[in-house]
Amino acid sequence: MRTLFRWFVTYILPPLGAFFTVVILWHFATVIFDIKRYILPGPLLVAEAGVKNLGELWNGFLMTGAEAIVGFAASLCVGTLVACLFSQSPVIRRSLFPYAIFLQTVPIVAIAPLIVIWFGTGFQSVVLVSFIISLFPIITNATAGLLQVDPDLLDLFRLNNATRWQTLLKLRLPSAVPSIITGARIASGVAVIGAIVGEFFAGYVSRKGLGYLILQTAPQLKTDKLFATVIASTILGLTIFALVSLIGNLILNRWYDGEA
Amino acid sequence: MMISTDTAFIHADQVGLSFPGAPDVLAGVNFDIPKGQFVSIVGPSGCGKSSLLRVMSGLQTATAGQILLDGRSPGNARENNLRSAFVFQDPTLLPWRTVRSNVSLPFELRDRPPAEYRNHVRETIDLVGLTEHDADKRPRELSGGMRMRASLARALVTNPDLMLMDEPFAPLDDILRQQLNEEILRIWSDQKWTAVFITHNVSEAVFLSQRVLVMHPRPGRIAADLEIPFAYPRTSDLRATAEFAELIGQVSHELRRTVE
Repeated sequence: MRTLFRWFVTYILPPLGAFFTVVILWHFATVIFDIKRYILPGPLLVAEAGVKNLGELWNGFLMTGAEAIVGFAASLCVGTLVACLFSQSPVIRRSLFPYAIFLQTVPIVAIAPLIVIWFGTGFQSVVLVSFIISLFPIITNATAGLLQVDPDLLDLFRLNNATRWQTLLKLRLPSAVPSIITGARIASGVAVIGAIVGEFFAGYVSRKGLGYLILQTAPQLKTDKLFATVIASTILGLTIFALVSLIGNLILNRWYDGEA
Repeated sequence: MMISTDTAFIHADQVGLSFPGAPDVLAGVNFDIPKGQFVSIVGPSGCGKSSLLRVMSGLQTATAGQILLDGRSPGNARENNLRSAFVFQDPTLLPWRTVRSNVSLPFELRDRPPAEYRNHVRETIDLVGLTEHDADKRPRELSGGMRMRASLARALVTNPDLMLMDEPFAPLDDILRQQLNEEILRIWSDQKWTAVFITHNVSEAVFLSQRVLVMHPRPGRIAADLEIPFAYPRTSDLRATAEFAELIGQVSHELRRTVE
């Protein structure tokens, strides 16, 4: 009980305090300076819009969440497989790594229209955008983890005449798990951004996602609802990040020396 | 040369090891070790004793001369069922596996069915002084000494003909080191593998071995070859005798000459 209280005071109270300070300042700023509600609605108006549109926001939360999770899961699998390939030869790494960097540097808004042309609008295209932009952190972190193996352990496997395949499955891949988890944490946040951006371009099939709601609400100057949608998007990002971190920490605590 | 390979289990003939643009690591190393002998190699740090062990294990290939294990090159011997086991300076255990699963690794890498080695793994864990309870722990739950015992078990479980040990007890405190010295001798007396033991601790070398080779640095070569005549089984009482102290003095004297 005491430790729970201390945990609350140490980790929960400070950010909560900062939150309420900002909300109160925000409230009085809108009142004192008489800011128009379509420019900056006060926190009470935003809360009201949130409650009024709760069903719509919840559906958006689920829709965008599903897209982000599928995109993230795909980049976790594909990224790890690509990294396994990279770990097998420096020639493969040198040949293909520049194109992996391409994933990181290409502006996603520039290729999103292309994706719509090729794959149409709808779930699959949104997932694809989310997948593309969350792939890079997995590839780089997993590749680094697969290569940074204790040299003594590599010698041990050589001395036991281990095959390349055995070394990958029984040594490199398990050694890389902490790095893959680090990559997954970064990718999980990026995947949500990808899903929302994807909906800007391809979300008007389901007409449900948070990105679609943002796009639809902004021109109507329903700024209070827009704010509520942005907050819902943030909560979605935090939720997925927290879930991935939680699973990651469970794995690290069970099989590894704790922190990645 | 042909004659000595018949009698010597390990035959080193003018072994040299060098890398381009660097001073020779080993040059003109000659010795013969008969089957079942316990030999220690001592030398100042950087004298190439670990490199010599790596050449014997086949992890590194001699750039001049040759080492023969039972008449064959180390790599060839390893592929032809000469069982050599290597004990690293660090325990070199897979942190995500239990002790039992770490000790089973050599069999797993040889694709043996678990039923075939399960009992033998249990016996070997017992042999090095670990309990059934310890066997199900992961390395991070064990003390340094227990981890080294697990590392020894993984080497012994293959029923080696040759044990190559690279300063395995260096990080342990003195009492623990003495205990493990006594235990390794007990196991050796039973199993009679050939042992090459690298250490910088003269007392350890004299206590364990039938013979101590002193190495000279830059380039690494054998400077002295001393017989240690004490009968086995050796117990801790031996450490208190004048003869023991005298031999330590002799080896230390040879060792000092190599750095002067």
